[in-house]
Amino acid sequence: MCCIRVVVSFVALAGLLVSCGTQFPTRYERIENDRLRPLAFVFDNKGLAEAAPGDTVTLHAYFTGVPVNDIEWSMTSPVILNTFGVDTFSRTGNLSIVGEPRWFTGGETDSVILDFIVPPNTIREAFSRVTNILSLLPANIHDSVPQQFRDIPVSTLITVMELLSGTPSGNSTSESDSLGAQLAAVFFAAPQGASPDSLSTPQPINQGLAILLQLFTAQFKILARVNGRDNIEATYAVRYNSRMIDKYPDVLVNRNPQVEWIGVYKIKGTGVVLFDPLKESHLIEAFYPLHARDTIPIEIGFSYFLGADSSTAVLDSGQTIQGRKEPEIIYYDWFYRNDDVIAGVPQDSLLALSVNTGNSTVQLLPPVDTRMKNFGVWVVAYDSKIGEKLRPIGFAFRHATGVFAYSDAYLKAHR
Amino acid sequence: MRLLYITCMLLLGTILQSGNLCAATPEDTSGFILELDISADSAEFESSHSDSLRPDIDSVISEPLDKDPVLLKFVEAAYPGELAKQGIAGTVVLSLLINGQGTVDSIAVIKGLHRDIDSAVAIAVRQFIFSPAIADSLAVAVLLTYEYHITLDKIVSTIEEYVNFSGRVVERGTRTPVPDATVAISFGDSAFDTALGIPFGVYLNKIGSFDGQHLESGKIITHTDSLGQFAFKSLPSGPIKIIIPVPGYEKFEELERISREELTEVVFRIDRVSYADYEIVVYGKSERKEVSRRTLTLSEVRKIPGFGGDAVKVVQALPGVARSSFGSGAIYVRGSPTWDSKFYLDGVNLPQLYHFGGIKSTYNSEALSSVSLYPGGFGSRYGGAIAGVIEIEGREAQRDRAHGFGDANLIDASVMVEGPLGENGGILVSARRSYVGDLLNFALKQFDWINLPVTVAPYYYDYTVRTDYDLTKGNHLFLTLFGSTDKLELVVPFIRGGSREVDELTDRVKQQNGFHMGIFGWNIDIGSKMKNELRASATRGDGSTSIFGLAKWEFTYWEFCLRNQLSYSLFQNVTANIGLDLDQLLYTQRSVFPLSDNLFWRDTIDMPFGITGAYANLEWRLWDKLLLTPSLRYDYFSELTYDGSIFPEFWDYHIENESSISGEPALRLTARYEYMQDHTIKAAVGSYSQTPQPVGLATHEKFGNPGLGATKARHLVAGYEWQATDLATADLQLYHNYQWEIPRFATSADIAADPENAPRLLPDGEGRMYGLELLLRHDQGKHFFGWLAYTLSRTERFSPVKGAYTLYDRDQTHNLQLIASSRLPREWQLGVRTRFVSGNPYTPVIGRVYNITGRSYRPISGEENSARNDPFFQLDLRIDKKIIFSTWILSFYLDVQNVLSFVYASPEFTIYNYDYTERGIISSPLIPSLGLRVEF
Repeated sequence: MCCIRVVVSFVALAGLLVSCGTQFPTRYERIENDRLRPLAFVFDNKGLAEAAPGDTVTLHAYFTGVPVNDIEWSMTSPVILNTFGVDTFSRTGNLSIVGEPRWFTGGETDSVILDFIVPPNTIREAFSRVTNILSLLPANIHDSVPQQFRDIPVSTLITVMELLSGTPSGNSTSESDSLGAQLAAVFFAAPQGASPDSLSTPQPINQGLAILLQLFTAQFKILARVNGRDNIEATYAVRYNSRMIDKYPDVLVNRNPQVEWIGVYKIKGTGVVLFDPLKESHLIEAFYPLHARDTIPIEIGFSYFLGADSSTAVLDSGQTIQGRKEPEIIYYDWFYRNDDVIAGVPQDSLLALSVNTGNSTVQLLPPVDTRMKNFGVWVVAYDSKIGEKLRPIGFAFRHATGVFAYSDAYLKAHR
Repeated sequence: MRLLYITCMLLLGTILQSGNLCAATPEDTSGFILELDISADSAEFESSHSDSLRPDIDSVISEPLDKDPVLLKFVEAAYPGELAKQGIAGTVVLSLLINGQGTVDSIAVIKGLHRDIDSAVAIAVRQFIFSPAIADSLAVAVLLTYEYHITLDKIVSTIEEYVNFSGRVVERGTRTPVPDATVAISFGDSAFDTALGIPFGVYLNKIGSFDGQHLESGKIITHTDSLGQFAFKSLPSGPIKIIIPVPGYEKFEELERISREELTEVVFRIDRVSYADYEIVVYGKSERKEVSRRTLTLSEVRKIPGFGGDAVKVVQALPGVARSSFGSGAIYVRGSPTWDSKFYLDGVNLPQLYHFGGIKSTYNSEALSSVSLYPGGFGSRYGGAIAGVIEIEGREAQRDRAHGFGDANLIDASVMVEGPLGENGGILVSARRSYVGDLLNFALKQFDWINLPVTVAPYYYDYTVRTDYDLTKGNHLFLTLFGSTDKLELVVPFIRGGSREVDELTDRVKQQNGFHMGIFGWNIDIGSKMKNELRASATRGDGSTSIFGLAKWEFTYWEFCLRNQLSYSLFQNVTANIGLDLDQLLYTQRSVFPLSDNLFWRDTIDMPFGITGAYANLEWRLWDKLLLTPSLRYDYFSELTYDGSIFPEFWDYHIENESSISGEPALRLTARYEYMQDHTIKAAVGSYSQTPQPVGLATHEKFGNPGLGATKARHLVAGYEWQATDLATADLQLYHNYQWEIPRFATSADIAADPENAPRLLPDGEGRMYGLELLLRHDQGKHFFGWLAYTLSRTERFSPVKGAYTLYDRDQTHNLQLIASSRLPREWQLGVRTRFVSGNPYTPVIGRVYNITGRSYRPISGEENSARNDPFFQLDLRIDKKIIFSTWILSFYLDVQNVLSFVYASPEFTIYNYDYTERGIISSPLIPSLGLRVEF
């Protein structure tokens, strides 16, 4: 056993040596006062994270780090994605901002709120050069495209979507409108036997329609140049779903998630680097909600975790192109800042976050230098469902501050 | 027996001129007494007939006898046994009075040896009977002087010839028999064996005459046979000293006690002067036909620092092979990516060269005989590669006895046994498994402060079974079974992966691949001018990769290779080789992975790949000093559907040169001219082609371009060789490679022009590589081997965006490597490897965009490969120590890579901080490796 330990020690040493690499002075999750940190762009379309062509969307842009003084907004034409994720677009132009952006600056988080209009011809332009609907799809799901759609011109299908969704047609013609109307009546008049008139009343979604809704999802980019220096882009998906839910209640739409609270879990034991509050609630020694300048007692013998809660009330489902419905997954991006400026102290001695796994909890490493007491945390929650084509992403944002209160034993140990 | 003299004393003195006996006339009738001298050897009398023992008489007497007295009856004197030990022997001079009846009347001892001997001689002589001496027709009495030579021969002749001391001489540690070794025995106590009965020296003289041994300077000497066996006969009892002086071995001396009555059997284990070279060592010059070939023998590579004894990895230390990144396992031959080279095992395709990360080669180096690198300009034997070829050759099992070893280090453990299989065969079995992952997991659990519930379980294993059999001389078969498996599983339970539609287990990364192959080889000499080499292999492989339920690949394949080469000596100076080279891969792949539009792509590839090749070449020695090797080859690519070429292409001719067959002809020529002894100039030119890479993906309907044709290349090589000594060589080569029709990724502009139909790969890529390679090499000598390798090179790709050539990723202007290994006393060996390599080019980041929905920064790249990393410098050390036991050897080694990592951080990988505002490097770490090895 002794020799095993020797070997193990040797291996561990070798492993540590191998793992040596560059340590950057900056870290993604640490907010610093000398550089801009874009936190989140939250798009809100009457409670939805998505929009249809022509909709007016409210954008909440959150920043911290350096103050935001100026933002130049622009947008791109619809994005063309290649197989490997490289996107291209043909042009950029002004973002159609409605009214004036509203600025909320001067605090720990700067935010800008503005309303913009989604170009009405976004989808039609995005697919203007596509002739074959199958080229939009992986070969393995070509079979799931109803045979009757395959020979219909893409422009006609878009007309159908516009008719069904009540979207003002950008470039349609009377002929295509006529054909589209007929097709809509034929293909989407579920249940069978219903007359075209029944389209005006809510219907269960047709599988073909579900596929078309995904196929005809387009993206454009909103570009922001902040303070004349930092470039930010947000990809925004546009589809007809939001216009369909009145007629087809089971058309899926995505809402922005919500972060209802932030707090700190006090966990029994040291060295715990991962913690699941649902499965390991028995480990919870205490929970301290964080709002503004809330006190967090720090003691020896415990581990601490930041935690956030996203309301299950806005947990949506996604639908894969094959029609499989699954709940979306919420990911969390955590950020922190040491608010007490202590010159010459290595960052390792201050507050830090451990492995950021995208979970709702992340290990909080209390400062070793106990002169550091005030801190801020930010969390950005966003949803995801792989398998649903160009699914719009919902975002939520929350910020809180706190103050560490060290126990005597902790102070003594870290004197 | 010689007649000394004869004197006539009597009246009828007679001169006897012949015979060893002078007769005297009978005293009663003739009154004559003749006095004669004779001498006689008792032993000869005993063993010879009397007729033949007539003494020569060369004296003169005044009255000649008509007839000499002839000894008719000889009676041997009984040697007094008690005197034999004293070894008394010599001549007793007697005066005999022979009467007229021929009997001895009286005897007088003129000169005696010993009283008892004289007496015994007298008794014997008295019983002699002679034919009477005749003088004047009368029997006369004669008085003659008789010399009786009494010896120990009679006693000595009774010494029996039997083996009473035998044994074997083997090499200590390896137990290898030492043939033709001199075994000498000296005797410390000549008086020990009191039962000898004769003097010790006489005894030695006698046994020294026995067949198979001889006496020399007081030592009995014999030699070992081919099995190291020796035997001594009839050694006297007592202490002896055995001395075994064998060149290349320490002088062996040992004391032993021998009994004449008992057989003593021993095994002597003698120490080599050095155990560092008992592997295969090739000295001197070997005939070279290729221009660029560089071959390493096993003994050269095992002790090179930094490679863990892995022979295949050592090619990375040769000129023309660029430095690959730590853990990549890539081999960049003359600037080309790994997939532009081919790897062969015994002439057939080797599906996987390395275990993951390039830790070790899949074929156990201990089962190899050589590794050859052809960095370019290779002959028509090889096809389907536009850069280089690496061929490794398995070795036959040693057949003299059973051998084996066990080796354990921090990464893996391996065992191998080999030995004879019947009279004409041999078998070698090896197995290896890694456990570095198990050790790491165990280590992590030992530290409380590491509490990540992450499980890492990488491991690999491989096995080799090779049997060889000689049907007849020049008719050799072998069968190799070889397999390898790599598995990696990283379980991260807190990860919320992708979809269970992809994989049920979304909390882990899994990777597995492996293969099992059989290789059949048959080499046969057909007469004196023709020989045939056949290789056939079948390989079954599979693999899968699953990444957190986000992506998954699964593949299976069967690969069949057949190579047959027939060589025929057309003339004394011309040998023709024709060959067939088939490699067919039946490949099935199923994959599912996410695309950028958030959908999963499910894909199946189910098609054959491979080459059907045929080739012919001439080895034409125009005159003694000039060897030309013109060659032709044709390769058909079954997976491609394009119009191949009619004529070999050395550049893009832009003329009508298309056939309806998706194949490419190749024309190659190498020349070697020894313009003066040990100085050779050489050159090669050739056209090459390969299926577009990466194979399968390149011609994929969605991700590649099904219409792609073969990628082509032209090699130009010129060089100079100097065989300075039997061990030292210098090799200088200049090369220029040009490649065209390389698949290149479509640019955004290409796709934007036709997003629906634009292929993802376009066939108009071009590349060029040129440079100089120098190799100064000292082969394994008594104390040293090593080499200095230097490559000056430039590797470029044509940029369609820029409209000009730009640096390729692995352009390394300077690559200097020094390798040296020295044998020290007491079985220590010290090795050093150092390398200085220009930093790799990289594309600088000139800006950044934060994709706030994708939650990541996207770099804005500057001009492609317009910047270069700092130079790479690495120093590796290795120390080996052998401890030789009687029947086995224990070895330890410590191999430390990148000793100077704390002094200079060599750039290995480039990394950026989260927003690309800071750039850093990950340097090669210091990697210590400790291992031990037991062999017998």
